[in-house]
Amino acid sequence: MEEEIRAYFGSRYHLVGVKLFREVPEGYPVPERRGKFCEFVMRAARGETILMRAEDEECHLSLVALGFQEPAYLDLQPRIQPAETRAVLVAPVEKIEEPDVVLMIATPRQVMEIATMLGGIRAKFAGEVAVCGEAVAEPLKTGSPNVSFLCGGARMLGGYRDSEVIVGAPPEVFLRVAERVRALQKTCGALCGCRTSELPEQVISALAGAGFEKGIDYFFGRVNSMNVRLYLNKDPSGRIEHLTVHFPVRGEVEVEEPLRVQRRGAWQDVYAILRNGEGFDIYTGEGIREVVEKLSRKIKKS
Amino acid sequence: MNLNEIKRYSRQLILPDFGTKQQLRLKQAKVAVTGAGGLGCPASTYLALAGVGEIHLFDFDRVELSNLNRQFLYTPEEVGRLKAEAAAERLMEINPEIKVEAICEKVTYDNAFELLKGYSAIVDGTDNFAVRYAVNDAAAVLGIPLFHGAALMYEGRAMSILPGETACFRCVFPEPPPPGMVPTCREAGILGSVVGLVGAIQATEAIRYLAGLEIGLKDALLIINVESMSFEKVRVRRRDDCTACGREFVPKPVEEVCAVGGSEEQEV
Amino acid sequence: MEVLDLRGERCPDTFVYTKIKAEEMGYAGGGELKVIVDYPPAVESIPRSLEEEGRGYVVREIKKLDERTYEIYISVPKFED
Repeated sequence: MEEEIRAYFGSRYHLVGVKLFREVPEGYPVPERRGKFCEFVMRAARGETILMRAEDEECHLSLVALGFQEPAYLDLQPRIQPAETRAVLVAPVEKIEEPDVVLMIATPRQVMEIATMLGGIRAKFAGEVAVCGEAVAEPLKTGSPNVSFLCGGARMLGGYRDSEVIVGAPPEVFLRVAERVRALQKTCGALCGCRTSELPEQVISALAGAGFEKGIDYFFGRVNSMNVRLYLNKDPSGRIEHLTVHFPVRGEVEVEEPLRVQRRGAWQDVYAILRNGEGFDIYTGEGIREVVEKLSRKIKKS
Repeated sequence: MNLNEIKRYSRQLILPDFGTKQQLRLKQAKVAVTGAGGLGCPASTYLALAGVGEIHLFDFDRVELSNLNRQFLYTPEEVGRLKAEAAAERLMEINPEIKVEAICEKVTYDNAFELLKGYSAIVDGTDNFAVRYAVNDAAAVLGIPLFHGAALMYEGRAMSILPGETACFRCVFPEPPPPGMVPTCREAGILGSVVGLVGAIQATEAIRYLAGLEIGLKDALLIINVESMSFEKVRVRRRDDCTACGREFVPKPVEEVCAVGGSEEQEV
Repeated sequence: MEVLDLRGERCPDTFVYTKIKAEEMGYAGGGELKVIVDYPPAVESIPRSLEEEGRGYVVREIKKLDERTYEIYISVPKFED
């Protein structure tokens, strides 16, 4: 699910799984020095797995929000009640079994797209105890997604960009997002491709060199006597990170990883999402044709 | 501290090892900056920003248009103004919590011992050897820590001197080079960012020293070359026979080597 | 009694400013400090963070003035270092 969501939204970060423990589990890496939960979430979004215990957290408010401690002076909300948490695991979502909450560090545009896929998000935020409370405790309590605009501590010390907010939701919600992404790719691949006129000249000539012609928002060609369409996806910084390869095939097919199949009436849309740099280079064209040919050989018509 | 000071300094106060106590030490300090030129501008600016309570700027020169590629405290409208005065005004605008005084007097071997009395530290921003040796000898005799810096063309140097404890400028360079060996910046040229680098290093050393923290340029001459961007620390030693800080103090005024027209004292 | 009016400030600045003020008072012989905040989470975090400093601060009282405004009364001991 993660790879599809990231590719579709062009997200620079992993989705982060959060799992709460009532006893400190064995075998997970703990932080080398104290930090803040919001900071550990950012590190997890960049690929780390971190088990945070009470002694690793330097923000008292997050200890209360995550249910390590009861508040002492006022009824701080939102928080996990009763306070029975002893450890919190954060990691890229694919590395966590049964997370309690999934977080996505997102730009406003990405939140907008998620909201449209979910039929709206009723967000509740105050700019206080944000990543820990608003993005974790709140969705855990309500079972619904929430959007947090972070708090002063997270903005100052968490490593977030000004243009980033965080969506927190139970895992089922992100599974629904992933389903919507798949459905969109099936019905309308155009939604996830950049307009070719906006691509650098270098990329267009690289693909031309590999034997693919330029369409409005995709490239097309023939490989192994099959038609193929290539979509390019930009990340928010404008770098092209993902290449989506589509083979429209009539009749039943069997495919191997990383190919997937979506049914489109009598047609099957066989596709794969590839990351730039893994066996090919979108900027030079090197390896593209070979990668696409290799994929085409994994399709068996039955 | 008032809330403005607390807010102003909060980003340095949350540094490890740097706290309220260190900030209060800075506030109580009185620092002399000799020369309000290419080194004096960055050095005094960082001292002022860090919250050194009282800064005295020594410079008798006036602002020239050709200073403005590096001496960022001055505007073109201020050409012709006394530098120390213009700089003092600007610094107090930048940080109204501190006091900056202008002393528009020429520092010489004869008056340095009197003029520099009573300071917590001296940051030297002159490149005239006569003044540099005068400041060094006065600091050694008065027992005042001296933060030396120099920059010319693409090279910069810095060294921190704690009298009675570490090597002084004269321990390393007992005599100035013969006239003509070292071009002044008026002949040789200088890039603003290079003096800025050296001035910032002097200020950093002075700030850390005044705050009571360890400093890195004791008994060490830092040599920076910006063509290769190399930073080299050369170990230096105190000399027992140093005329400034050795067994016996011997006054040794140095002739001004600058023979090129214009004012005699030149800031880098 | 020294007063630090932090209305309009958020965490973590509320704590940073309180800590600096309290330390300055500690070095000057100690005394009583009143901190005013209108950011409720600070009411939870300032006392806890002060406690963690290990300086012997004592939070005497927390007064609620209105929905968001609180006064925190802190005794600052004399610092020996």
